[in-house]
Amino acid sequence: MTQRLIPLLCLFHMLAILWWALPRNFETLEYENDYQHTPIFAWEEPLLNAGKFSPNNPIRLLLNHYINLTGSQQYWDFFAPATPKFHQYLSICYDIVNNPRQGNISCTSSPLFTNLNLEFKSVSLFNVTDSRLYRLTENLVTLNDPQLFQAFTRYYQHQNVTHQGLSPVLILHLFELAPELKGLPSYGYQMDKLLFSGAE
Amino acid sequence: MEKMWHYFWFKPVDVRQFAILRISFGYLCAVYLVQLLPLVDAHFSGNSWLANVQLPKLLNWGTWSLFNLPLGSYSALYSYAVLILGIGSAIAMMAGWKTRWSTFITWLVLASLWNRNPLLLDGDDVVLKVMAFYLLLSPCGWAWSIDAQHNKLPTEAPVWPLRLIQFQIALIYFVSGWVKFHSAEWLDGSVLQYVLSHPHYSRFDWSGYFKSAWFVGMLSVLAGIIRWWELLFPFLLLNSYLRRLSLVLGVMFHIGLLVTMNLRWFPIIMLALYPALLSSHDFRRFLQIRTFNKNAKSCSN
Repeated sequence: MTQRLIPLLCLFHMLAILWWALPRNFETLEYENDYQHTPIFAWEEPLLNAGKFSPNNPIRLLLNHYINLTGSQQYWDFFAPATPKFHQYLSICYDIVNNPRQGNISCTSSPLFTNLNLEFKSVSLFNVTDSRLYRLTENLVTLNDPQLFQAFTRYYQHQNVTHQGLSPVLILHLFELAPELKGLPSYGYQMDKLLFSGAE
Repeated sequence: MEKMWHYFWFKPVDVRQFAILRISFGYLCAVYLVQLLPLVDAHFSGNSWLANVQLPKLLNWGTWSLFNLPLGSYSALYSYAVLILGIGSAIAMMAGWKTRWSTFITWLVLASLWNRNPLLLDGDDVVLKVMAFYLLLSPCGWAWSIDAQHNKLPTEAPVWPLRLIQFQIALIYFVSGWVKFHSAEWLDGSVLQYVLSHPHYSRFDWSGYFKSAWFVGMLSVLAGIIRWWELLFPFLLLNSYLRRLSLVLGVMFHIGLLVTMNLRWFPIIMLALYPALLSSHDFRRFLQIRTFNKNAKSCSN
């Protein structure tokens, strides 16, 4: 009995992670024109669509519950970000100066939070907090959810009670890399923008 | 056919192949959980910035987490306690003490972190989480463990947990390779120039080298090799010679990542998976070579 059941359960697990991982890793990608001429494109769409069930389909519900219960959610697209051209950082502060010609928005007072750092550095394997905050920045920018921007800004506002009554802003420091262009700073074009203002 | 099917799932393998994974992943889980300690209050506890947010459905993240308990003013203390429990269990898992339970608690804490706030986490965290789940199913405490010191345990076990791990690794590479075929920068080969110019991900400023056509050409060829190698990885595993070649490429690739890029422990985590990809024969030969070298050293002394 066990010898029949174990392979079946293994196959079910493999099917579940494959079903879960494949379409979700392609949801946020934008198709490039060149891509439609690659051999992979021809068999990609049918394969990705094969696992799309209606929301109340019992197979879908079963697989979803299984993935949730076993904590098997997985995204692998971050090993190949769709836009390696960009790098970005966040700052939260009360007073800002906007320089549209240079593309930058900077804090005039001490920021409540910032992870802006344009220095190349060999990060230690044992101090990874900067790396975690960079990952958070990437995800917040990708999700582009005002509710998340507000919650993040408000948290750091509440951590700093000295400016009660003022409204902090959340700044995105966005840079586009262009390694082929000479004379440009190595960190690229700057295109800062306000993600959120007036938290309270 | 039935014999082949049975052999595929139940072929006996040396339990040390599971044990080596347990030791390396126990260590890596402990290090990762220690490194999350400074971030617990702000990002995972009931006082965190996500505490009152209705999580967006887009991420499809899990619905349960040890960090979700509403404990009011004790939530920070509780969250630290959960993480410290995870660190303790990961160390116990590495040592092979009460292995099944310690692996279960490690998995529970890792999955809880992911379900609470995946925005801070990345591929390396997912590999640790899913590996803890697979090790939970495997007899990874049957060798090189405190449990094995105190109990007489078999030296061989069925291969099926290893099959799950192998499938998982193949899926990681396959999807990573496939996604790369969607990116114009991967297709035209310029991606490594961007990656090496990236102030956060690159360890060094390589911009001076981009003037060299030879260097840029080499990066382009490398980008092509990487995406095809990743896409074909599951198929390369099916032949013993191609599998060895693929593993050598993988070792070179991950060492390259470790030297040039800031990806935390990701390259080391991926290399720690590789013993699961060795055939039983190659794994035993690897252990014999190590034992032989050790004996030769002690003889020469």
